[in-house]
Amino acid sequence: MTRSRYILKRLLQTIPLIAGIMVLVMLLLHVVPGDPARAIGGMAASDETVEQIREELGLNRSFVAQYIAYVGNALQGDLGISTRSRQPVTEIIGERLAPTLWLLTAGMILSIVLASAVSVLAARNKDRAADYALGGLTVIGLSMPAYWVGIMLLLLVALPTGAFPISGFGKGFWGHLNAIILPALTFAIAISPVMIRALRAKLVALYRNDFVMMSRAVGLSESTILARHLSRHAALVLITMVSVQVGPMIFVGVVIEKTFALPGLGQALVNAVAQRDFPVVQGITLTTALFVTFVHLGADIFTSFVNPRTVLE
Amino acid sequence: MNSLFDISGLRIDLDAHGDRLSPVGPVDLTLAKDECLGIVGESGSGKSLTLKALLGLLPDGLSMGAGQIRIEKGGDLVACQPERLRGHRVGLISQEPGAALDPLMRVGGLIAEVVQRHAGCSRTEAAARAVDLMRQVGIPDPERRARFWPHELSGGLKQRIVIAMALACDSDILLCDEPTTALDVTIQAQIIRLLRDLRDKRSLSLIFVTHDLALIHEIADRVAVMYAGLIVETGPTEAVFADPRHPYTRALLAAIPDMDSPDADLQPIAGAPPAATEFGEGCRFAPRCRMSSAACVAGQPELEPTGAGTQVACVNWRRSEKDAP
Repeated sequence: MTRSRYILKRLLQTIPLIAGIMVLVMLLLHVVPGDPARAIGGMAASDETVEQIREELGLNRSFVAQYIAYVGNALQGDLGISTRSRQPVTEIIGERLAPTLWLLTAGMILSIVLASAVSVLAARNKDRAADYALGGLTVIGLSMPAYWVGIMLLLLVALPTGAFPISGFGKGFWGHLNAIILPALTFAIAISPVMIRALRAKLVALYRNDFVMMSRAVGLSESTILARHLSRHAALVLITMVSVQVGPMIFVGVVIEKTFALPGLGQALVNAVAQRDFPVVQGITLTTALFVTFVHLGADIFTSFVNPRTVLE
Repeated sequence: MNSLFDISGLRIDLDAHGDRLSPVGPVDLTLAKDECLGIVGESGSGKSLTLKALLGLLPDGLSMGAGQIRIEKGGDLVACQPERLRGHRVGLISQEPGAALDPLMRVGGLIAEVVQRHAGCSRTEAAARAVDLMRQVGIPDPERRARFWPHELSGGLKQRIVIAMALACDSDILLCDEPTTALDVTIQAQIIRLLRDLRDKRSLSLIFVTHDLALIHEIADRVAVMYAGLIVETGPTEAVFADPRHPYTRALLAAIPDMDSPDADLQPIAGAPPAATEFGEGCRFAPRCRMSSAACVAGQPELEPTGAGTQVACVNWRRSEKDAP
């Protein structure tokens, strides 16, 4: 099988996946106990208001009809209207997307850099003091909840130095960057330990590999072996880790947005849930689910380029 | 003899052990220019470790405890660190061509990388030289195959790539660690022919490690028989094969199935070689030896000349097999 066929196959596979995701997103409304329209309207709402909400959300139609309507609208970029602010959901998502993307991107980059550096250091010093010390730090990182790390960074770094905002997203590129440093660090402390564990183990195994010995035998330096050979293997491990961890990462992102009061999707989601703003909850859930799907797809495509054996049947 | 590469007193130690344990050594080896030295022995005899030690490529937990490695430079033998020989004077061909190539790089790139490191030339020039090297090691259609990934090549072709990588260093000594063990018989013959051709064309000197006696007989000018980390018999291949003096060498030769009398029983060597923890004071082969006597367990026999051009480490080498009790 050629790579292009493999990529095409993976692309086609995402279509039923997204359709399935949308079924689950639709079900969100219906798993709420009682009448969703009443839940949205509140106890004080008159029967006419509740009926109006029901009409507006299409809840009086069959599930299949609702689903078709939702998918059809979604394809045209319409995810409904917030029952609270009367703002289109896509507009809310558009406003809130930037801080979340900043956080996830900066957090990911920092996690990968941190994980690579620590893993290489630990693997090169396998079973020596440095390896054990880094292993210990990894366990500590793994056991600290993200919101606690965030609060500690706010208390111990942001407040005493005054160099970082304690809430909000800042203004302009540098403002955003400055505002995202501590949240991204919190993200990396939460996410990188698992990466470090996997990557260190992979590197230790690779260093025992025959091809590393052969590379040494032909006179390649340790840094060349690391940069030209092991880095490719490490990239595969990291991209797999990102792929399998992207779900938990989004959850960590929501917690961090709340801790640092970042006006991102996570915070919007938490607020929308609290206000029973179902169209917004659905829209954000759909957005994150699509994000996860595309990260998986991207990871598979990346892997197929680095590792030619992936595309074999 | 015009020595090119000389190893004396090489000892490989296990790290982190209360008592010193040395699975290999002390071993003395010498390689003349344009010569092929064969090292033969069972699995676990330390022949492969010896080769790896010569380039400082011992696996974790093992290190070179003692010994001196000298290499010819301007007519003299000069002492050299094993790591410094890598990619300059001494190349290595390993047992498993499948594992020796990075699966995430195209084979042309793997060779070009070595060319680039060695000659310091541009990327395109290195790629062209890599294709040229592939042609020299007998890979058909090298321009096309340079774009192949390791998993797209057969074992024999992969081994040729490994050889091309070693040649890219312009080494004059090639260490071959069972280069044909993982290949099937017809491919084995092709690789051996290639190594011979290269040896003649590029005046390479080889150290060839294998457990295959027929192969040693075919390719090696001199042979060293290793048992339990020590050389027990060494000399010109013809002399050793014609008149083996060490009981282990004899037993090895006797264990080869005889094609002329296929009904004859095989004569295996009873028992198994000892682990480094089981090495005694005396001859390490004594427990399995049909000729062992009280003198054998008293002390480790040294290599001594037999007069027939060979050296043997056995207290009883003068006694022939028939005299054995």
